[in-house]
Amino acid sequence: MPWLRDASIKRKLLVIMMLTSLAVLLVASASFLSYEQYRFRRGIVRDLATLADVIGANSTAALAFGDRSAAIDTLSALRAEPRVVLAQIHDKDSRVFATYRRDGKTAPALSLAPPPGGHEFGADHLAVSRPILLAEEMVGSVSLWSDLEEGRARLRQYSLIAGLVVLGSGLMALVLSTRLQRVISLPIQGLARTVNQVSLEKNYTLRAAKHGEDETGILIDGFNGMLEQIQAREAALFQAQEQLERRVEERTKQLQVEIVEREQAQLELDRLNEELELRVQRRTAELEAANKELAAFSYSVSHDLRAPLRKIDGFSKALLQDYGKALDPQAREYLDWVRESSQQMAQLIDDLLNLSKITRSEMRRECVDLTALALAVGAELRQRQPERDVSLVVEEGLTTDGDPQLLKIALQNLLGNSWKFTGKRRDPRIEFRVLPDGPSRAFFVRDNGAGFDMAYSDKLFGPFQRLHSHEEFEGTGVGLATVQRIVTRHGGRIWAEASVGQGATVFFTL
Amino acid sequence: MEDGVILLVEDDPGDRALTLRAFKMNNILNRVVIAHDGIEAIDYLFGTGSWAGRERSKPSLILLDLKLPKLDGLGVLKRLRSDDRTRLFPVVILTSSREEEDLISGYSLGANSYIRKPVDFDQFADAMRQLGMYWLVLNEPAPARRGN
Repeated sequence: MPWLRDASIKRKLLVIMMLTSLAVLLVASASFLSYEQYRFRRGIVRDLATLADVIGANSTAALAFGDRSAAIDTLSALRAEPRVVLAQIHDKDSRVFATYRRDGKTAPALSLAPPPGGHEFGADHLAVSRPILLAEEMVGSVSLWSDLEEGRARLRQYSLIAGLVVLGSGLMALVLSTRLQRVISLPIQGLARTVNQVSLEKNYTLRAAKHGEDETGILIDGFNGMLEQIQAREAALFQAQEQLERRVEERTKQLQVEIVEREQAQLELDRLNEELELRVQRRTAELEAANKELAAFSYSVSHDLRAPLRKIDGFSKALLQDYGKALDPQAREYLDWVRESSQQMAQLIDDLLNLSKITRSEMRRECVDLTALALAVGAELRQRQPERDVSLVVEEGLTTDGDPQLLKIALQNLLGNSWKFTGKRRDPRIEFRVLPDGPSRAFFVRDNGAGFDMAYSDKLFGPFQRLHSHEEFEGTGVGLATVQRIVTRHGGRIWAEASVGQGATVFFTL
Repeated sequence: MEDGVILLVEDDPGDRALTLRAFKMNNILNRVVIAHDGIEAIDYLFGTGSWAGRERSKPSLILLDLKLPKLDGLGVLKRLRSDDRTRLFPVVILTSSREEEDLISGYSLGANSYIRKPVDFDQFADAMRQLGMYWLVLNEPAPARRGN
């Protein structure tokens, strides 16, 4: 029913109820009318059969005696029965014996021949035939024809009544259903309105009114439940949002505070940096001044201290040369001592200057081939004292990161020491190697020379500290001090092991 | 200008005496002109100041100390080398200093040689001997410049 699809619930309900009532009424009316018709037909057949039997009984004598008029009289009694339009009595040979016709009524087509003892309905009449019995023997038959006017009249009447009933009940149904449909349609309409309002206003606090505990009620409950959930969620969402906003706000405030703090810290840092910078500048200036002073001092030492020594030596020599003959041997020896001392002092000055130069000079770090360096120093030593036969063993492939000039000075001192202190051995031997293991590579120079007493090892690296007398071995005692400074400037460590007469080993890391 | 003069620029009288002694010991007989400070050396070389109008000889060798009163040795060298008349004179720096800076400055300014005076007089005398042998005998000096 497509036309009903978009109609309102109210209309739908109305249509459904009206159609249902009408259908019921029509079916009831039709059944009633049919039954009525059936009852009428059964009744008329029975009435006519009884009538025919009565006429038959009353006509036995007339038949037996062939008295036609008596038979006609008997038939005339049928005037009381207006339904009967034609009546005939037949004899036992089925010949018409007597006939009755109702006045004004044309006889029906008498083609209708009722079966003996039976009846037959025609289009507008009923034929009934009954046998006439006398002493159990059929002596003739009676046939009656009746019109069906009464049945038709009754049918018309009943139809009218049914029509009125249908009309009345229809109206009643309309009134009732118009009122009753509200029970269903009103809650649904209310729900629909609420749904509309909610969706339009986004107002989740609205609730649909409930009218009962039926399915609509369940629906409304469900809808209200959903609305409640939505409202709760909305509230939770709102709360969460507010919380979030609050947190964002708090965090923003914190961040602002942090930013301010950081800026302050940065300012403070900048100030401290500036201060530090100033201090560094001041220190640097001081240091530069000190360095300059030191340089001037060194220059002065180098130039001015040597000049008098040179004169002491020179004039002592002049005395010896020019007046040697006038001096006794003791005086000459004294003059020799004067010269020796002045030369020793010159050497001390030179060593001192070298030592300070090592401390002051700039470091240049590069890859240094220590093996080659040691061999070169060995060659220098050999050249200086070609008469000595010293066995120098240098490990292959020793390289390190450092200042080549300083490292050369270090090796010159270390190998030079070994060279010097092996001077009294018959089989002098010097080794330059690296320790095979250990956390940092330790190089060492080992000799089988004079060695020293470990009790004095703490004095070993002090400047101008000597463990041997000048008579034994010459020297000023700055060699190992120089080496120590070089090793220290490379961030390394230096130490020694020795025993008297067994040689010495100096270890160093870089 | 007479050839063969040695100009000894030295402020220390002791050093002067020892140097002259070393020359004598080594038979270096060239005339030695003494300048007591840098200015006097310049005066001699250019005929100015105390040497104005006095007769001078072209030095075969200038022995220049670095540490001098008034004008130091490097200042003298600078003046010497910046003048065409004296540009080619052989100058040997003779000093106690062995400072790297002095060596570099000396050579940069055009010193022909740099000798550090040994403390040991024997070594000093030997150095003077070799010096005289080289500069006064072996070395062929640059020809005198025209108009000089």
